[in-house]
Amino acid sequence: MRQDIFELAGKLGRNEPFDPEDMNSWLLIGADNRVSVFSGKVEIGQGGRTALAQIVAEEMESPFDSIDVYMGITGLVPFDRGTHGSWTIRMMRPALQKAAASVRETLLLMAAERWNLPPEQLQARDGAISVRGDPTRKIAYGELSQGKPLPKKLTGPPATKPVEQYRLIGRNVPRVDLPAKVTGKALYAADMKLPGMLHGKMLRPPSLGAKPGQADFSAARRQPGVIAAIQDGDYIGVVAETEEQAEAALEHIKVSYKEPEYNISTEQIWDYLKANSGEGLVIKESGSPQHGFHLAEKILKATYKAAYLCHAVIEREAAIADVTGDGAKIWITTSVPFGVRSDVALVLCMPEAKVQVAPTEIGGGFGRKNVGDAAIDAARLSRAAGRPVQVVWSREEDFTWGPYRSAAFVEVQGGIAKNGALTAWEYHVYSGPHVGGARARYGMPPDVKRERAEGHGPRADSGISRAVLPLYNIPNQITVAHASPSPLRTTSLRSLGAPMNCFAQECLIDELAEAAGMDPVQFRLSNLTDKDTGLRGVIEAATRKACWKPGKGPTGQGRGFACSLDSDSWIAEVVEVEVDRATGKVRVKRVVAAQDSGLVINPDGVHSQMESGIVMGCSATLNEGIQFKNGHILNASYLDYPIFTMMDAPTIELVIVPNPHMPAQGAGEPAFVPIPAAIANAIYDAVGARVRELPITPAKVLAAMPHHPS
Amino acid sequence: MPRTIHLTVNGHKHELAVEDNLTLASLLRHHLGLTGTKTGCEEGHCGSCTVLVNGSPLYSCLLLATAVDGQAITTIEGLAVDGKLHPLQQAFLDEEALQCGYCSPGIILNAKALLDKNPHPTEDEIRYSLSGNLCRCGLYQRIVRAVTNAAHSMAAKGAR
Repeated sequence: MRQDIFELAGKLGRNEPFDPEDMNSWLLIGADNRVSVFSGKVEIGQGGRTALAQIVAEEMESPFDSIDVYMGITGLVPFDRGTHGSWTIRMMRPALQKAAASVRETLLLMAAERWNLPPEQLQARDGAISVRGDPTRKIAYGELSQGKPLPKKLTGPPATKPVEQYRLIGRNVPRVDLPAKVTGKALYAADMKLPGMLHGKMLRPPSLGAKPGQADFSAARRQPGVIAAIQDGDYIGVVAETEEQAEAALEHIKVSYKEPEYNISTEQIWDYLKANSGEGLVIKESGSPQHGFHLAEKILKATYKAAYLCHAVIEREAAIADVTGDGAKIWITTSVPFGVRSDVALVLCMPEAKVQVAPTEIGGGFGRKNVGDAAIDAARLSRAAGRPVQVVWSREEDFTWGPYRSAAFVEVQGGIAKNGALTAWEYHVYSGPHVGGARARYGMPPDVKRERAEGHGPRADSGISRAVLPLYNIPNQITVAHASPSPLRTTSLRSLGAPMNCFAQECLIDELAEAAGMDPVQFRLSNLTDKDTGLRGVIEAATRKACWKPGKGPTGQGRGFACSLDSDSWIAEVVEVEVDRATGKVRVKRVVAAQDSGLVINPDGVHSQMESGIVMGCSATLNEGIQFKNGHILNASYLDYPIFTMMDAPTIELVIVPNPHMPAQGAGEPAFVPIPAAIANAIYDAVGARVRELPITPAKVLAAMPHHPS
Repeated sequence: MPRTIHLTVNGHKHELAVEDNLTLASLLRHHLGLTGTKTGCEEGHCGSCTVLVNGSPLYSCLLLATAVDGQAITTIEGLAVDGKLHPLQQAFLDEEALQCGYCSPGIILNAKALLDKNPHPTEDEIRYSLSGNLCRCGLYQRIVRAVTNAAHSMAAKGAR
């Protein structure tokens, strides 16, 4: 049981704050020679736990199975902003590599002192320091450390191991978290049970943004099993002995709501985003766009749209809180334990030091777990009940009250010269926020300072402008990101605004290629410079693997291409589709992807993440979009928001372009990014229908088909 | 009024007093502590709560406990025998056919029912049989491969 997890910091003698420059903040060698790794990242299914252990074992010269990785437990691990943005490896590898190398070098110096030998005569091997040429003379790391933090002995940065000598990094070390998941032993937040634990349920307003008056709990409090019923601002909840009792008691709460005026629904969101955004933030301007369009032989202009997307992770929002006079303990499915800590502290008016948060096993995230809603629910209810409270949202609540990826809208025009060279580009994206703000919209008091730091509010955050710049050599260009408030609650969803930007860019590039009379892949390659080796590498790898050749015109079968730069990884994808001309139904048959993520820690882990991103991208492109009207979410179930099933999923073929001397880059999101554009381009190739709005439903395909009556 | 029912769960006999509205999923998770059975939606759409009832894969969130009185239930906790993983569990590990693992118990049980009935399914048969189990991590291709490999290893060993 993980309820004693908060005792670990005391047992291991660890105290905040942890200086990230100090190796002891990240690593501790027990007297038993086991190595504890402390990271603020969490295992969310991405394989982080295994990859971080590989990094440490490699650099420290410790056996892989001697490594224990502690993740995301506040008070025990260094602060971390969260497990998102494909940052687990990108951020942790430099930190852990340096800490592990420092530890190794320090242990070497300690052994040298003990034996009175020059350090050059010693070596670190297999969890011990030994004398070169005399393997019988050795001392285990744990014997040197005695389970204590290591003294500072290094005067400069440690030497790191050359890539050529890696024996663990680059290997498919089996995932350490999987055995417990296939036997049912892994404990997710809804699976945990504390002694005396109660169950909480929230009364949801009749529509989004509706404000409750004063609630009358007199009848609800008399219901069987009810321990407490509370109102805290807009928040109304009930605690009972069982989940069923809490649910049943909700119906006995008397309260009236003031519903806001709604004049926006799914169809008007594009106009809303444009009307409500400021003049925008110029992300890049070079040359003279006006002059560039003047020089162009042909100019194409188009608008692209994308609906709100829901994460729809199978695990529902869930947490347990145990709030006492001493403080609050939280167990939650989250990717932001430190964010949850400050949220709970804020809600309970408690110093952060009194709040402890531990992530449980996490049933998928993709950004959904970047908020800690259930912790806020459970903390409020536990404070009222004086006992531990578990909160598990219903599926409908998860679809309705969780945050989404913002809808977005793009206006773009591009110009080409007679020879097919891009001469000019003008790009405007309009979108609600991706980063920050979501917490404030879950009945939280505003934390202005943090919201500002996270980029909440009407400014172009890093999510809107992600992958926003054209990949090609265009002498005259301007790119502007326009941030709008969002009528629906938003947060980041796997790769944020990147797929939308790639969709608009890479579809227009295909259209420009056709206008130039060129094959779309040739057109792209011809608009790269000699310096674009990363992009060229993945384009060539993907098209070679897919045996790309120019299409023969509409046959019902189509191929599409798109590429991007996301999370510092290059990604290129070829998609094959089959389109039913009578119904407009699209089937993705095959996806071939090539990715360059620099150094790869665990190749199978990267493959797994690529497959995952591709399937999610296909599902988002063809099936997914939140529909809303008059403050109601209309498709709050898997039946009405049909994510891809095993029947829909394509055959996937992958190439990792080797680049071991580049730092390890992000791999969780890039493969999602080109999918919408590649599918749209493939549909055009198949039936001549250019659909510029996501999701690409059969009706939109039919309407866009040439000679269609509409 | 609670009713008394008799169930065999993973080979163990239970006599239980249950309310009429208690689902099999809740019974397993909250009364028997078998939390390997997940409930992703509680409305019969995601398949994560799949268990075997007399060998047939059913959504335990849609079944009332009283409706399975006298039946034999297999959950994910009942698949490994004496600590030795079922070939399907082993194949899911070997292929790393999971990421977050939330859908895996339901998928593995559904696949077991398929292989018990059809020891050598084609890829299309696997995809069709498992299409009622959603995997948001999207590792469908690996799951197909894992089930295929498990079928081969079960055939080789004559195991079920």
